[in-house]
Amino acid sequence: MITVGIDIGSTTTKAVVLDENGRYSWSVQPSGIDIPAIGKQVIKNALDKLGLSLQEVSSIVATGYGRISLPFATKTVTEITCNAAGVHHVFPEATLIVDIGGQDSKAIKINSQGRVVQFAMNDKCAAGTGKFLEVAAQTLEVNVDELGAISQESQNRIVISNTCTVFAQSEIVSLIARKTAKEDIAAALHESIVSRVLGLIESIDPELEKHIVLTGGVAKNIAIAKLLERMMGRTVLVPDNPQITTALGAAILARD
Amino acid sequence: METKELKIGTRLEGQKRLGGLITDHYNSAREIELTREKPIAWASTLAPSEILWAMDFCVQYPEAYAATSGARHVAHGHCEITEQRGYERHLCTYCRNSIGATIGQLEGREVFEPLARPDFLLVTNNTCILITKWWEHLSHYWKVPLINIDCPVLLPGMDEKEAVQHVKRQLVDLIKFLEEFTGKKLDYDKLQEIVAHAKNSSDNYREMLNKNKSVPAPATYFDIMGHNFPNLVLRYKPEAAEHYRLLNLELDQRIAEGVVPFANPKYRIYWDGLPYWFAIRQLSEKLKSLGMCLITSTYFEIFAFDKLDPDRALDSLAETVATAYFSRSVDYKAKFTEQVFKDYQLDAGVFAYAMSCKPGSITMRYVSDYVQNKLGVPMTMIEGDLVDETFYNAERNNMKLETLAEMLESMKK
Repeated sequence: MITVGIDIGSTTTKAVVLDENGRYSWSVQPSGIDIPAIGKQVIKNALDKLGLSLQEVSSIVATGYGRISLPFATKTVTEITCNAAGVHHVFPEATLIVDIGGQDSKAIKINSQGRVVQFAMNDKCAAGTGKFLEVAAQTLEVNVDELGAISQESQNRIVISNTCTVFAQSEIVSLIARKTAKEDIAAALHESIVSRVLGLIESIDPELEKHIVLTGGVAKNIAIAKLLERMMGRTVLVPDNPQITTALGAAILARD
Repeated sequence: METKELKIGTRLEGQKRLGGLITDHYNSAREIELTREKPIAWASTLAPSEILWAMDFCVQYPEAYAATSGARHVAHGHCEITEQRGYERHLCTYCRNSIGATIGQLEGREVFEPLARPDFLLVTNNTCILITKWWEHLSHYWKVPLINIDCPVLLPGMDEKEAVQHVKRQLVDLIKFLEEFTGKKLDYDKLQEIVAHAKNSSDNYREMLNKNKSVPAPATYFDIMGHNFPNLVLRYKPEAAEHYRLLNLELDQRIAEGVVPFANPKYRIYWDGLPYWFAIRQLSEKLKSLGMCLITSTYFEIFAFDKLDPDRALDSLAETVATAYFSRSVDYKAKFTEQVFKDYQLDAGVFAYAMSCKPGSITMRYVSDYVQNKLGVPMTMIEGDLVDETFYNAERNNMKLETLAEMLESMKK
């Protein structure tokens, strides 16, 4: 049975193709207005990697904000449930997930079967999400993928006090004007994100779990994982492909 | 939840009757505003309006007006007026709606079906703490006197009797003030009669709420929510009790005949917090699509006046005002909510955080966690506001409700 999971997020669309042997391939591309067209393309890209065609696919689960816009999906499932299924597949012992995406961050508690028990999301605000880093990277005139490495070079701790993405941008400009090192600003941005996410985690897990799993596009930034580990005093596990964990979970649920 | 052969009900017959009661109430107030045959008072939700009614005031409720403004999608216009005057956008939106409508009325601007202009304002802080400051501004704009009945938050270990006496002393002062203000003495027999009507109405209101303990429930929380109006605004008249009596007969018939509010209600859901008045239709449709039947809410407790006793009119009024649900501690509310889940056999909870209502929303996380830990039921917290639509994102909330439905489904496996 070949199944597909497709996660249509605010920033990127991800597809995972899962075959009967548990092998999977994936593809990511920027989201856009023509959701069905982008969806078809990203699924095709993932299928091509395994030498498969759409006709061989038994079931497609769509998730993410654009999930209702794919007429060819077999069913839709929320990204929270999909993410739980994906993490459970990769880390069967996991019980706490933190997912930091383009505009959402989530803390999800799951049981030993990978089922969602409790969850919390950022309130209607982009602080603590990938958008925060994206805007900051633009202001610092660096690639967002470089921000993590730049932050690791920081020598002086400073604090970005604004949690609002828009006002943080003004604050960064002020810091630059005062000749603050780029590395220190980058480190402060990371600390700001992790502080916001810590609040989410503690809202559903005030007692410490053994370790947490970090997923989402922002999890590719190794500095976030390291900082979260340091600030929480707990191990943070990151899947090899953290950005596609939700789509993987969708592909797994498509087998049901 | 078992589903036997069930019939799907149409809109409650009582809705038409309710509409008539509401229209009559506001029409009557507008007439009184023209004739000035009675003084007009604005009262907050849990104010001791029985005293006002006994002294022949026509009583209006700005909070009910705010709810209607939200439901009719006109609150934004009122709120804009307030913001143009420099009031901060994150203020309670009932407050912004009310102040905006007031300024609009005074300046002859377009305002949605304005309330009859007040001669007197009566507020209590047993629902929230901002309300007193809000009404202070109303008093300033209308240039009419304001009395605030102070109600302490009932923390564990506090002497409730002392709180009741504290309120009773203020009620006595209120009566003295009103006698001087109107030039008439309070007729205590009339007060007793009004409290008797109010008790009758409240008893029937409570019975209405209890109907949804039936499995399946005959109506959703959104169906019966608007029927708090008679007990809030009209409980001094026999018509209020009669409305509930007839509504209860209708609900009993639905229960007997297996009539449900929509096809395939799968889950019994609790709602915490005030309604998002502008989003009721959208939320109703979404919840229906997920098989989620909203059953009840502690919001209903605001409109319950269970302690009223005509044989102890003033004392029972003081008890009602002093021991209102919203004056209770967070631990009380958590345990109360746990009991509601048991009494109504609820499967999950939706906690509706209101961005501009911090006093109402602050307890939600604690209560949600408490009940979840005690009963093992899943919960979700959605975001919105009472009447300000700019604080609402339907898609984010839809996703959370869908996730809750998925959690419930997975629990069945």
